[in-house]
Amino acid sequence: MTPLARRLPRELKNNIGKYLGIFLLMCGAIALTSGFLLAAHSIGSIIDEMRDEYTIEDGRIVTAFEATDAQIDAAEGATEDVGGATFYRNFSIDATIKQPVGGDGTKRTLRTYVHRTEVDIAFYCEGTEPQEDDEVAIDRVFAKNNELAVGDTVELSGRAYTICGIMTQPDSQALFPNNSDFTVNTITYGVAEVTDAGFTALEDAGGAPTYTYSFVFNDRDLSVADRTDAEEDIVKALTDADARVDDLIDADSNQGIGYARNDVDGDSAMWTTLLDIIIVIMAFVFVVLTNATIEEESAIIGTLLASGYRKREIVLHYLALPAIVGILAAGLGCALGVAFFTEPMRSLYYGSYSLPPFHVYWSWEIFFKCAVVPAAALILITLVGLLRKMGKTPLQFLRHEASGKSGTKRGLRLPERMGFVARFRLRIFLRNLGNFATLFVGVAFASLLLLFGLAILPTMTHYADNLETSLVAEHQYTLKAPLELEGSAEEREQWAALDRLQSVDGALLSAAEDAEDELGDAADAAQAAADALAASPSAEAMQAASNALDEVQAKKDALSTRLDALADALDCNRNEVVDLIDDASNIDTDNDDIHPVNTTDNGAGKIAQTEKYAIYQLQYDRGEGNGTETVSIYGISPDSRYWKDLDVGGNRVIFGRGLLDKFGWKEGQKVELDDKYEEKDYFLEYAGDDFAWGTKSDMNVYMSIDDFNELFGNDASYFNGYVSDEELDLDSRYFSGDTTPDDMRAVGDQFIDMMSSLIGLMVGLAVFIFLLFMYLLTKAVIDRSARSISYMKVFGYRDGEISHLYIRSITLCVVASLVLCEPLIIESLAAIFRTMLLTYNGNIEIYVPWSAMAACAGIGFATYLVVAFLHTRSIKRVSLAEALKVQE
Amino acid sequence: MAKSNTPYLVVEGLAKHYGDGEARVQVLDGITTTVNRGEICVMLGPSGSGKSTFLNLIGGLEGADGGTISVGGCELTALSSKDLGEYRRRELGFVFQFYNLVPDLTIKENIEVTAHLSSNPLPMEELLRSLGLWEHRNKFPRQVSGGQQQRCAIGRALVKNPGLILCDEPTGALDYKTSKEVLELMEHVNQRYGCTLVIVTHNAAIARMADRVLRLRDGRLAENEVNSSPVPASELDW
Repeated sequence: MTPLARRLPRELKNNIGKYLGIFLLMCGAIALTSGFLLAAHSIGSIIDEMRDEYTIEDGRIVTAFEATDAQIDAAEGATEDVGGATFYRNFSIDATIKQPVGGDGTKRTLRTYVHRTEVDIAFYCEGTEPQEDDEVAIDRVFAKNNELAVGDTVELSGRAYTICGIMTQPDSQALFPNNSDFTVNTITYGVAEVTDAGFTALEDAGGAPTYTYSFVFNDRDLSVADRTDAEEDIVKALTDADARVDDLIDADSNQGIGYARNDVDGDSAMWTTLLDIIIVIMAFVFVVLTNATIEEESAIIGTLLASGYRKREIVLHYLALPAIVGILAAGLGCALGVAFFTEPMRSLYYGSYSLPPFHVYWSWEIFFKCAVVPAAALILITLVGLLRKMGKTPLQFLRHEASGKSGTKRGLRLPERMGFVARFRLRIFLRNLGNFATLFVGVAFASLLLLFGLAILPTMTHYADNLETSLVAEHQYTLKAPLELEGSAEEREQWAALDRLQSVDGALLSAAEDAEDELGDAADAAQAAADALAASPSAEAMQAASNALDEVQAKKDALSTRLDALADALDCNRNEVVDLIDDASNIDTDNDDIHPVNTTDNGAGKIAQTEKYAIYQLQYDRGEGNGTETVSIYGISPDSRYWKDLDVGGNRVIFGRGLLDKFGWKEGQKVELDDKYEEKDYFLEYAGDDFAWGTKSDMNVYMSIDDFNELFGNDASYFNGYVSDEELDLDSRYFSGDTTPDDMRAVGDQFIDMMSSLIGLMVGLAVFIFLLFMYLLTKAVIDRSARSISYMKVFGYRDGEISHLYIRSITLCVVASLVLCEPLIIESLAAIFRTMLLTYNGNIEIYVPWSAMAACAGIGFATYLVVAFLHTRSIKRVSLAEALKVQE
Repeated sequence: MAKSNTPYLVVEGLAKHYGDGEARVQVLDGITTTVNRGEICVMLGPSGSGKSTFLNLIGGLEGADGGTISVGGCELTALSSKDLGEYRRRELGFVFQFYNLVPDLTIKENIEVTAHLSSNPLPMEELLRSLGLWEHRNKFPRQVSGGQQQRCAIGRALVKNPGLILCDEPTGALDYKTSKEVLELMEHVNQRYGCTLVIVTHNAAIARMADRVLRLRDGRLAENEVNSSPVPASELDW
């Protein structure tokens, strides 16, 4: 170490504000990032362990109706090539929950399962699993957000249940009501477990079960390709066995299972990038400040070099303080992050995701990313800057030629007609171009953070508004199969009868049907025997007729037994069963053109305002390993009263603007969409601006329902949904879902809720960065001009006039930076949003209102005013003696 | 240490120009001279005559266009940039008109900066006392006078015990009295430590204390005289 090292503590003391500011920003950024990364890494590890610990499924299928044992056998049989799989019933009912007290009136839904013991086993954080029929265990996050606790009584679909436990289900780590949803909903949606009897009670209360079958491959280490093939075989086997598969979700595609992990991974990358940007900017600040010092000490450096000092020694000397500050900030920041910021960062995730208890998993990679890389990057960039600056000869340093091209800038000829003040300011600007360029980058980065913080709420509110307006009616019902609202009372009765008969174990109905057939056959045989006896009476004929009659009686008894069994199952008497069968038999179930009729008459008025539509979901490959986007294809009425101004029909295909915005499809582009169940591709052409519709959140494709049915090979009369401004009463057997504006609003609210915690952090960080960069870089301008300022004082300029010249120049640069960077950062924000959200379903358009832009510039300028005030004082403090100092 | 007749600095046909075409200026043109070990050599000349360039070339701070420079048998024009750095580290001390002290190091520490470069630096206390800086050793440059700062700069050049000290207008920024004190110090240093001094100055009176006087005019050596009876610095007057 050279004796020059003794300068370091003095340099530190003399410029404590500069180094402390940089230290604090670096230390803070590293602390936040390391705390976050450790929390994220630990959460990732916890999630990874859950797969085996709680037997997370490998996938699930959802059938429109309960699958028979034979169908499940067929599905299991289809997996033999990959070592087999086991299927588990995982039925659920979406039950409306009413809180004991309070509540804002918003509908809240608990997806309620039978307590699981074999697959997707819940972890109980508090209390116990449900043991009584009126006990329910609910999700931890939902419980927290709705202030529910063990011992509370809640009403599920009108029936009272006592909360016996608070738990997390491993397949609902992220609470997505629908797998294609854009974001989690932890406020109005949760999951729950009840006993078998508790579940039946919900069914009895009108709850429509979703027939989910989770499966686990015997070989849990199957490759993704093998698993995907096997899952396709499962769907094919079920379809061949006459089951209607509504959905197939591989565990990797199940947002409930994979979203939390993806989210922490994505956020980790974002935090690391943010830290890297801060470090790079800090390094450039160091380069600018060190360069200023080198210029100031040019003659000393020249003397030292002339005296035999090596450049390496000088470089190391000027590198020492940035390196020490960087290393200390990195080390301390990392330690603080691990000690104090892991828990707050954990709570950010545990507020949104339902996960088992947290514990820390240390990773040296975090230390490397948060301490080693930032310190090394800071040192390296500063070193490169120094080496560049030190690339002069000793003589150039002695002659004060270390400032590179500044001599040229200083000597730039300016127009004569330009006033003195303007020229003076321009020269200040030119002389400090490097500082102002770095200031621009710093201001742009701080503005980016600030505008991100300020724009996130308007963006999410805008998105929520778009989602809400994208819903064209108060209710958008989806159906498992076509269900007619119109029908005669007689037809409703017949379908009600069929519905009721199909509600019991299919084997009972089949047995009764078989018994009836056998009775018919026996009756026919008895009739034949009676005819034979009449034609040629004989003892043998008599005996045969008698036997036939006995057989009829036996078959009749057998039928009665079957009917009684059915009656028991249906909780009625035999005659009622007979009536039901009579009614149901009037339906021509072999005719595909005949659709079921809703058993409840919703009234002519309500029915008249409804409109049928069809919907089917296809997948679009986002490319570059970013997964697939779920695109809803809508078949609607060409003259729809709900989808106004949407001109469909005649093979016109209209694309939602969200799709066009997100993927940048151009006119004439053929978009390939994939049907994951049918292994079939569809090509839809985007024909130009006239074929775009909706907001930039609209991710649907629209066509007429006739075109839809032709495209997908459906019957001409096929549909699977209603839009309605009135609430409809639909048969639970066919009801799939009802999306309302409230649901859409909840999605937006959820996003706002998730992001709001970050807003304060971002605004605070941005203001600090503003303050630091503006102070350091503009102070360097003042320091560099100290001699000139002193001369001006000697010449008779007043402090105010000097401030007018210098501060105004700096002010103009700051204001220009604040204003000019805005278009740049808005473009950057849009690009960041696009990149961040590319792998998610949906499209959020960055929305920066003028007020946010004005607030951003205003906060930036207000911060600068503080700095300018400090500089005004600095100018006052510049001594007259500065001008008298000897200088070559 | 006694002066010797051994040639220490040997310059032959030294040439240097700046600029090209019409802007070309021949700063030095065929300078040839020899300075013996332990001599005080004073170089005189008006502004722009090439004095400082001559000093820079000897100091290895610039490269010559032609000619050779040998210092203590070491041929400078054959050295690489890195080797020139090592040469300066080993052989040279510089004193400038404006001291160029490190402002946030004390007087003593400023001297230690170059002491660090030598394997056999002069004893610090003795040096500080002989420079008259012992009392001020813990002061910062801004706390002492210009003369004391220049003493410190001389100490900084001297402490590593170099063979050659190059002084560029060492009294240019000082008043008469302080200038004389500094010149007396340089004389003392020369006599005590035996180092060769090359002093570039405008002040012709200083030539009287020199063993050798070089006078430059328009890049050429107009005078190269050996002063057989140098006057003690204390007797100089101007």
